[in-house]
This record gives sequence, C-alpha cells and structure tokens, in this order.
Amino acid sequence: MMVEFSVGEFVDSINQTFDIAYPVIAVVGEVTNFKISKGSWVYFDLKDDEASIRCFTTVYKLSFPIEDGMVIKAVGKPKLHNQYGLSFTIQLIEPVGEGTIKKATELLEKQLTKEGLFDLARKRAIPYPPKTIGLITSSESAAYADFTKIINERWNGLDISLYNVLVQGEKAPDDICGAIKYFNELANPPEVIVITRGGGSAEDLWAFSTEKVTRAVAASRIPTIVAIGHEVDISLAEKAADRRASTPSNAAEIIVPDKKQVLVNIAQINLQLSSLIGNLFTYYSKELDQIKEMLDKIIILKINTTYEAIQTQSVLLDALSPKKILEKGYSIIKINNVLVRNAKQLKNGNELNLQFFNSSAGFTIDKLNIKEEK
Amino acid sequence: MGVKKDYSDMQNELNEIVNDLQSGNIDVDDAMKKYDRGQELVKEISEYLKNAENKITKINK
Repeated sequence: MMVEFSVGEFVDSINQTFDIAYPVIAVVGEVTNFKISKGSWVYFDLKDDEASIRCFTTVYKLSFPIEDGMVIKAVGKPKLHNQYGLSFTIQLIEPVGEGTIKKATELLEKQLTKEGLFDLARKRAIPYPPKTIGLITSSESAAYADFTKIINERWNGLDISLYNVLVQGEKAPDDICGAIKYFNELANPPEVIVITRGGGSAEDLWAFSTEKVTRAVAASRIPTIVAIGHEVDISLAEKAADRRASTPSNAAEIIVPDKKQVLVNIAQINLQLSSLIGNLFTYYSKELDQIKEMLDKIIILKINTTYEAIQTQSVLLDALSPKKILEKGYSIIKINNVLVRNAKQLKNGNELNLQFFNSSAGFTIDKLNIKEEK
Repeated sequence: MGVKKDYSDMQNELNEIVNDLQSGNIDVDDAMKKYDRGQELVKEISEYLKNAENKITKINK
C-alpha cells in the first residue's frame, strides 16, 4: 500500500527518519563557498571528490576561524528544510589534517594576539614552590605518571588536586574548560593550575589550540602552566598560559625546586650562619679590646699626671729644706737645743752648738759683743 | 602524615636571619638568639624536605 503525504508531512517524516538514522554523525570534507550572513548565520559547502553537501551553523559554533580549502570534521545531523532543501546542521567543527590545523591555529593566533591574549604583560609570577596545585590531565596518561614521578622526586609537602579530563577528541575542550572553571570557583583555590598531556598528532593536540581552551587559560584567576608534550608547534593554550613547559616532566621541574639541591644550599647556609656568628664575635671582642686599650691609656695618663704633680711638689719641698740652706753655707746656732734667732739670747759662758751642712761644732762664749743692726 | 609546616615561610625567615647577621648592625644577645633560631630553621627545613609527604586528591566530577 502506497503512503500518501502532504509536502509538509513528507518533510517532517524525512526529518524524523534522519533523527532515528543519524542522531549525530560526523562528516569530513573540504570547505568551499564559506560565508557568514548578518554576523550570525554560517553557510558553506562540504565536498570531496565525489560529492558536495550544503552546511549550516551559527558563528557561536565555530571554534576557530574557517576559510575555503580547510578540511574539517563537522559533527551534526542532516535536515530537510521545508523551503531550502537538504542541509547538514552543524553542532561542532574540528579541523582535520596537519595543514588545516596549522592554518586554523595561525588564523586564531592572529585574532587572539590582536586582543592581547598572549601579551607578556599579562603573565603572572607563579609561587615558587607552590603549596597547592590544581592538576588538569588524564589520570590514565603517561603525562600524569611523568608529572607526579618527577614532582615526588623533587619536592615534598605538596597538596595536589587532580581533575581528570579527556585530553583529545570532541569533548576535550569542554572538559578542560570545566576543570579550569572548577578550580577558579573554589573558595580555597590552588596556587597554580597545571594543564598537561603527552605528545601526539596535530589532531590529538588540537583541543589545546581551540579558542575555548585558549580563552579559559588566559582568563584563569589562578596562574597557569601549560605543558603539552611536543616541541615543534606550540599550542595556543601554552601561549596564553603564564608559563609554558615543554613536557609534563619539565612542568614538574619548573614548578618546584629540587630538594637535593635545596638541602645542599641549606647545609651551606648552616656553615654561613656559623661563620657569621664567628665573625660577629671576633668583631665584638675586638671592640672590647679597643675599649680596654682606651681605659688603659686613660689610667696611665692619670697616673703620669699625678706622678708629675708629686715630682714638682717634691722638688719644691727639697728646695725649701733647711739642709739645702745649710748646703749653701748657712749654719744654725742652738743653746741647749733651743734655736738662737737673736743675739740678745746670748750670754757669756753659754755653750753654743753650731750645726753646718754635714757637721757640727761646740763653742763657749767668753767675750760677747752684741751689735744691733738697724 | 608529614610535617605540616610552610617551607616558604621557614626559608624566608632563615634568609632574613642571614641578612641580619650579615648587616653586623646587631647586638650580641640578638645575634645569639638569631643564630640559635637559624640553626632550628636549618633543622626544620631539612626535616621537611626529608619527611613531608605529597598528597594527591582525585576530584570526583
């Protein structure tokens, strides 16, 4: 029995069949006739050697700038429009092949550079060493094993939170952005976010050059270090990060010092401390010696001054001594040990004692003759 | 569990002590106190680097 539809019913029926047959499919092909209408609607054809299909999406679904000639993988579903015919409605686009990826990365880099996303002035210092790390990687990956191996060898006392993500494929960008958002929204966020994966093909690494991930890395309030294990082309996320490392192991080397080296430095500081305290004590004892020397000088000066004063007094005393006067030729007359100061003390018959400088003599007065001098 | 001390704080304090002792502008009592504290810090940092453990927590999302 033949089924009969109205045109509208037929279009609905075809679309329902498409929904069942192709809930979501990916189509790979080369972009031609790319155009954006009214700043929002995106139209292009996807072709290969055998066929061409019309595609439709919105600018919000474009994860990188698209040009004619690019090979892309478009994820979406076919839809029969009731006026414009069949088109492929796209939800997600990924570049395919090294050439397209390179071109897409170049175009996106140009655009984001203009916005200043990669400016050196935006780079922040990463605490060295951090106490807490937010690690975004695949917990099954070699990158995770390498990073944790090196970090455990190099440093202690770290608090690492691992956010397990897909690091390649369609869902990787949303996963990685979700992890960055998670750490940024924590009340006690880690001091640094490490985003890492091992090497791979240009397609494997594409998630790290998508606009979404690049912007999320640049917008992170927490400083970021991105280490993607490949050397030739640097992903845009690495360029947007505060610091880039060449491999997961290199990220661990950059983020923390080597405890063996720090222990050597600490031993050197210990020696330096002993030498410094030794120097200070030498300095203090020299200062004490100087004070002692000064005190010695003061006391010697005092003794000398006193000695000189005594000397002067002694000379004076000596000069005033009666002996000194006798030495000059004077003599002393005594009667019965009484000093004769005046001739009137004398009488005939007195026994006089005359004392000279170094001798004495006795006399008796028999003819006294006193003369008074005026 | 490992030692719960902050390496950076300890290292900064030790560097300050070395600077203070280097400046020479310090009295004997202070110098001795700082020297003793420096020795303590050397010991604590060495212990931290030998004994503190790294903790890895997996976030379930």
